[in-house]
Amino acid sequence: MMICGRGIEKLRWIREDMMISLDVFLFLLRFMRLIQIQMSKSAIDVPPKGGFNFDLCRRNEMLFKKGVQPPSFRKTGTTIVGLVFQRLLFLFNQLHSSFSIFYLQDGVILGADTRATEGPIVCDKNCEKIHYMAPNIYCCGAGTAADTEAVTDMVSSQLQLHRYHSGRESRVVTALTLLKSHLFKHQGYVQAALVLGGVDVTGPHLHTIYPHGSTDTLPYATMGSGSLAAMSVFESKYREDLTRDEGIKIVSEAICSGIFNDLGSGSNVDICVITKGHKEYLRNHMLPNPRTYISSKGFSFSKQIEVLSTKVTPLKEKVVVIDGGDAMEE
Amino acid sequence: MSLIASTPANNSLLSSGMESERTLYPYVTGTSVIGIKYKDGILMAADMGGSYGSTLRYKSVERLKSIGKHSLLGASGEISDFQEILRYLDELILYDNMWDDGNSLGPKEVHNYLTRVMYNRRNKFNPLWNSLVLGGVKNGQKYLGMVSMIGVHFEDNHVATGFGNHLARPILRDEWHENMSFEDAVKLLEKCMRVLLYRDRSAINKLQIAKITEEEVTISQPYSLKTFWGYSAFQNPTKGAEGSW
Repeated sequence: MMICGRGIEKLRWIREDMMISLDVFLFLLRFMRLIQIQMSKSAIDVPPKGGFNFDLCRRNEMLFKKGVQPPSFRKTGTTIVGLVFQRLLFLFNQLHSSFSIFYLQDGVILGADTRATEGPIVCDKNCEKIHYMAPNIYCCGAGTAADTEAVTDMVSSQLQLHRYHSGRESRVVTALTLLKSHLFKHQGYVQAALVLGGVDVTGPHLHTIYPHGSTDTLPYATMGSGSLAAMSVFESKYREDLTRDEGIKIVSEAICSGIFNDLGSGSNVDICVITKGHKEYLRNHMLPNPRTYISSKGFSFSKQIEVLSTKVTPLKEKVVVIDGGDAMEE
Repeated sequence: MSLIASTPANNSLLSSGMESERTLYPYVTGTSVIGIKYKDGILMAADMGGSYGSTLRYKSVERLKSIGKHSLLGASGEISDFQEILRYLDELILYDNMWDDGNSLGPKEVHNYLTRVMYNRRNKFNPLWNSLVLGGVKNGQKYLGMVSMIGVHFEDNHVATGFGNHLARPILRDEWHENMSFEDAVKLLEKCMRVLLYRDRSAINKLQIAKITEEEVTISQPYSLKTFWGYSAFQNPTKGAEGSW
């Protein structure tokens, strides 16, 4: 029953068989109008869906002009890499039209350095940049540390719920789509650059995800401030036909290249190897920056602490309590 | 010898002397130059592209030139400033020859001269927008040095300018060693140039390699590198996930 509110005549015209009394009609009219006002009011209050709310930006700018410094955030200035290895086996008659490729051993190797920087200072010498997404999917994160951790945690829990719902192993493209739509919705303000890799029923996959939400599917990928140094190693050394150990060696070399040639990356090398049904998280696989001491034996503090001299200064005598003095001298 | 580089905004109408005239941005630029020491001397590689902003305008710019008998100069950055530097060096070598005393300027001397020129121009806020690589051999001594646009200069076993700093230097640090043979050194340079070709936007596949030894200077003919694009992942990136990208 549509109420136009223009007159009883209109109402009668809509539903001939339905006759209502005047007071009921007026009540319904008022009720509808009330709902309309409510809806329009709530339409103003609710912020537009999706993305960030920038209402406080003007106030922040004003504060900044007055001299209030915004807090700096912790970044993982980084080198993160990923590589797909597929051992290929060709049959004899390798004509253009007839050769077969068998994948004997294939998977994805992810690598990352372990330095987290806060401006010019290293705030964490041994942080973990390879985050768990699913038993068969791992993700390396570069950019703002909080953003990478929050985004990977969020998508990891969404994947778990999806696994419960569907009863199947998660696919890498699922994680990819969830991450990219989240990052796109925030238009690049969530500064997380990710290298996502995993092995699912469709095979090994490696993707890069940029802070604005674009993605690439690649056989080898690098991200972070050390990405150029690592990419130079990959471009000169990668080939299709790699074994697992060769892949680990190339990934370690790429991360070391980032560690030694880029100031934002440093400390140790973390590696994660994912193959079908099996994963290996090699935390601190290489420690190319050990603590060194002048003496080759290193430094050790003696177990027994020797007492050289004792001097006791009783504190109570020094405190003078004035009785009846003024409570607070102004 | 007054040097005036006019900016695009202040044209000849405003040359009252009140407006400061200085180089603000480069226009036609060359990309990276890589140089390494090897057993007999110095090897340098540079491609032949001159970019006008984001357009690849000139494809036969020779960015490696020999200076006198003992030196080789490679430049990246503004091409017109490179040509100006070549004019200065021409004059320098000419005056040196006119002494006719059997002595000639070696790479160390030329490097020092270039450093002074670049640093002086930067102090006048009118820089020559180049990163120069200077290499040479004199009396059996190999020398390889670099001067940047603000006058930073140093000498090293392997140098790279521009994007080569980020992409080629890691490779050179890992794989360079003393007394490389000519073939090994060329292979190393080609490896670096190939990575630059893949990953530098302003690089082109037409490069020259220049060699300087005690006896002679040779700058090769332009040639191109072989590239490989046949990875199976490039053929079908969305395999197993039809419809995604």
